[in-house]
Amino acid sequence: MIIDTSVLSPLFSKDPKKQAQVANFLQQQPRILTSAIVIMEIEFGLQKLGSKKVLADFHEFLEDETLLDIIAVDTQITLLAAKKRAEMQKKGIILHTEDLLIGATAKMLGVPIATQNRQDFEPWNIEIISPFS
Amino acid sequence: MSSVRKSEGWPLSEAKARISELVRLAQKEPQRVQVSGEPAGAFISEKDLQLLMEIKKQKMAKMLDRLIRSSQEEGIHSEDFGELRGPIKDIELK
Repeated sequence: MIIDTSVLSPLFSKDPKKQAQVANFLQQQPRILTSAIVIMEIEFGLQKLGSKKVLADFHEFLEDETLLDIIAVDTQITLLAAKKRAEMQKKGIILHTEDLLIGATAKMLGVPIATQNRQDFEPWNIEIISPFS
Repeated sequence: MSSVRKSEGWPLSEAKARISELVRLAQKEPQRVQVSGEPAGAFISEKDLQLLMEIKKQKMAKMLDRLIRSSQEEGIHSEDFGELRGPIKDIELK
């Protein structure tokens, strides 16, 4: 499954219970797949807050390919995202570029998405997993 | 020949033809398989697989613990991230 930002970011929550919840969930997965877009969003959050220590540790996490599989945004993903954006726009629904690209990544791989924002991925007709509810 | 295979791995075609032997040999040590002359995978015993998975799990736990600890120590929290996605331009409603 693809891990969405909403599932990964509470690893940095103020609430130790929420942090533990993320850690437990990730440890249960035989393989952790995510999108490069999720990495961009977490990086943005950490950069905004001026983090040094967490940022350095986060980068180490990213570099270890045995821990994390980061799926890059390729042409196939962008084509899927564009098609979905046009389809939804016709219905008057505007989706965020980030969510479109993350959804398209899961769709392309044919895997579920783990998210706390179900509605952002409903247009994709993919399996949506809510790990903390 | 077998010593060459041991270090460099079995070509895929040969691995396919001799899969039973590979599984048997893998009980003693991992048997590498090459695709187009490059190391691509391996046959390993169930015992080695369990060990590998356990090590991987521990490594992940250690990294996650570190990230959690750093977040608490530095006071960097996801609740303060704000909006992480780019803005959506307002569209004119006709």
